[in-house]
Amino acid sequence: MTALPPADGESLAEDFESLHGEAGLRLHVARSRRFKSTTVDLFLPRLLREQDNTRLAVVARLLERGTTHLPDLRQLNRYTDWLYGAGFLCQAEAHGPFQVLHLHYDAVDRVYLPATGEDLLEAGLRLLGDVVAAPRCEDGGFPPLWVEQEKQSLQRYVAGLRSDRTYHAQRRCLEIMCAGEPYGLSAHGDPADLPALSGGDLMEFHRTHTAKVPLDVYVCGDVDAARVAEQCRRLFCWPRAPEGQPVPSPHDGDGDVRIVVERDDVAQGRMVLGYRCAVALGGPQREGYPALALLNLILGGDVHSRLYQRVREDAGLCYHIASYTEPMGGMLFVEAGVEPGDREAVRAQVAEQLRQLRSHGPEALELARSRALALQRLDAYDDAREGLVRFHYYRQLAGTDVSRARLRQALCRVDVQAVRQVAAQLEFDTDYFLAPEECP
Amino acid sequence: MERVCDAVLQEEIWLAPLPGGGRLWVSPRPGRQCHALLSVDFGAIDDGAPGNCGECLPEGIAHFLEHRLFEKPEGDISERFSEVGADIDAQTGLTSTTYSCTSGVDGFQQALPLLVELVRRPHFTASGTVRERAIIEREIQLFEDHVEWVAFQSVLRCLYGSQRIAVDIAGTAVSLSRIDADLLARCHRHRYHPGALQLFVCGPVDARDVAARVCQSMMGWEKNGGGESAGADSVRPRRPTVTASPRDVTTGLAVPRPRALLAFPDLDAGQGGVLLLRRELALQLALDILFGPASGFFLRHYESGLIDGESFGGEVHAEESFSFCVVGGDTDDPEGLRSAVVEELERAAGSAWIEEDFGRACRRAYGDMVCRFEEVESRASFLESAAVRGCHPFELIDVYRSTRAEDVRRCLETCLCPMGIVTATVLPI
Repeated sequence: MTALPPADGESLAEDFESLHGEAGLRLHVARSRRFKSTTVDLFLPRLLREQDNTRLAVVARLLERGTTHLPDLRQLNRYTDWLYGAGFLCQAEAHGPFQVLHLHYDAVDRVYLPATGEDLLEAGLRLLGDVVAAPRCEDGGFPPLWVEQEKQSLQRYVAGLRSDRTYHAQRRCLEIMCAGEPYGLSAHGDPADLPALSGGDLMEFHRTHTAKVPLDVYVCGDVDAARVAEQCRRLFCWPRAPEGQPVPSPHDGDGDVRIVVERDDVAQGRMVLGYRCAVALGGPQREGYPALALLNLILGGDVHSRLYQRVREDAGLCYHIASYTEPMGGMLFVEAGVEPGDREAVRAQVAEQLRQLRSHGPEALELARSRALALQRLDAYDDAREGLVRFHYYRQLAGTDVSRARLRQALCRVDVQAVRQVAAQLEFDTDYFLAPEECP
Repeated sequence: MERVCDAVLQEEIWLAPLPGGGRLWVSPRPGRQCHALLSVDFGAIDDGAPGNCGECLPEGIAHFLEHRLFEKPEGDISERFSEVGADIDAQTGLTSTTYSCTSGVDGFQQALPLLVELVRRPHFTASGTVRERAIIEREIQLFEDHVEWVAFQSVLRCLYGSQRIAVDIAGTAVSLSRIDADLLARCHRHRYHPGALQLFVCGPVDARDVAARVCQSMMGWEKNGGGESAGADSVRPRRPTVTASPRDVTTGLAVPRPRALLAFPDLDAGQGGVLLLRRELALQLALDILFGPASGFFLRHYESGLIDGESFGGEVHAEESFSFCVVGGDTDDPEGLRSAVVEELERAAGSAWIEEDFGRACRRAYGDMVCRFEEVESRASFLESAAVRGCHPFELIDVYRSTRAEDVRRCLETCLCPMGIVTATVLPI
């Protein structure tokens, strides 16, 4: 099959041209003609902390409600719709131990519009600048009515997350495993903090947050980096004097396994097993991370992986079983939808697979297959900018190498022995089960 | 091969006939990812058994078949996709079953024939069927906790009662017990014939090269398909139109808040081709103007707390054999939401909202459409949405350029009217 040459002579060497501007603004531009729209992402991070996590979660919602120039939701939405359905969102997200205020904007490039001439990028950068620097204000705070509405919305949203039982079980396992650590806190905050929050308090928090943390701006599309840099200087002009934010080391396991069973009205139980590993992205043993990533794929990260094949396909013990990692924290989780009666059998199968991987390592074929998949996913970021941006930003936050090309090389070097070693370092930490009410 | 270009989008789409009556659509795009979507014209609502013997296929058989096609004599075929670095996924819908495969350029050369092999060469065994039944029963159970799924199933029950369309796509314990290896094999021969296939390929590929490769892997299929093969699509049975018999349905589930979905059967159902595409877009524009994030309704009821930003929205489900719209989301007051929607529709009928807001809604829809060309997956599904309705994808783009406010206004008279409204409510237990 004949491949078209990569557009614009793009290579794996560097995904972004990074320009470090004044006052903590770092601009990362990926220029490409491959896309029909331009995306802009702003990230403002802080360490997850109790109460502050609730504040940031509410602020993100308030920022989405309007600005001094577009003073309500309808005017804001009408404005972006006239920009040919430009996307705008503002949310608080967890990235490892960090909570990040993320603003996103995307709009069609002018050459694809039926009537050309509108600069949708300038309009979008101006909008994002306004959202951060000129939120709608009453008596020095966010409008009290909005604050009450968004507190309620957030409370309902958090309650609603519970109805996704798999998500809820994953969340509970992480909370139990990382009690007292930033990793265990939610980007959506704790509803118990909400009553104490006021519009004035939240506005002050917002001003301090945006002034004290570094601002990373990602722009991807057919754009000119120098021109975007000028636009960012002009339109993102709130005061900034960022302070450093080192990644906190995750706790070591204490050797004991926490076993927690909680009950809920579920048709099927949800099992989540949490493991800690000294190998973490950005940690002292970071060179082991590529092996951990492959171990995850071999164990349960895909349909060809051991857990899926042995527990679901061969033993028929569950419909769903998978593993995933928390890279910055060096944590690996196995989750499955399990009948209470099959819980022991599933747990024994997981333990057996891990035991085999510890003692013998993976088979060469398994490793090759997982590596091919990992490389393919890494390459696929070229075609999906959200993944590319998140890959780069997450690794920058972790204080580790942001180069995909070097991660690619490292993945190619991982051998059976390296996967065996990282499997041997896994320490079983938390055994969580969300059980149906009527189960004995 | 036929090649058509769109000057504004700067896109080209290639179309080639496949041996046995199917079609291949190719949309080249620079990049690293290739995506192939294989759509089979057999979905959960299709009940015609092989041989026109009047027998009705058990519910859930399309989904069962989709699951079982992965088993081959040498094992699970997904392993072979993994070996070439490809992701494979499958989904059973109401009117079609789709198999989608994503990979880099190199792996795609091998993945494409594998995709054809996946649907062409079945290996149904008695033991595999028994094992699958247990897996699907668990899958059904897992979805019973899923509020989106439960609410949508309730909508179907509201509109279509106990007709097949309202039964879980995966079937029921009873219907699953009627499915065995022999029935799967007969059903496969009857429904998975080359004429029932449409293949969509997007990525950094050469269209002629793809066509040659696909034709080669399909060679001989129509000849050795067996006596029950329906052959060319001229003999493909047209799905009958499903008639709605609206009534309210309430379901209990362990959820923190009630969810209320208001459903509207479309009196204009039964259209096909470009008319169907036009109807679908007009309904989407109507929902956006009346209830979308830029509507007066959304602002008022978001601020009053009746609706929330996360779950509230509208959807259009328009096919040739059924058509309806849904509006709703989580609310503490399902009755209040219904009254508010009815009131809004009554006011809309005597207002000029549609005409005044049409330009904004069109710009939004146009931008959303352009963005579907951004990724190989969304691009393939865009192509599919036009092609399975018998249209060229560029006809769908023309629909975006030529739809008028009158088309949207008509939706208020024939679908989005207070008269036909039914409510599917999920209440906390």
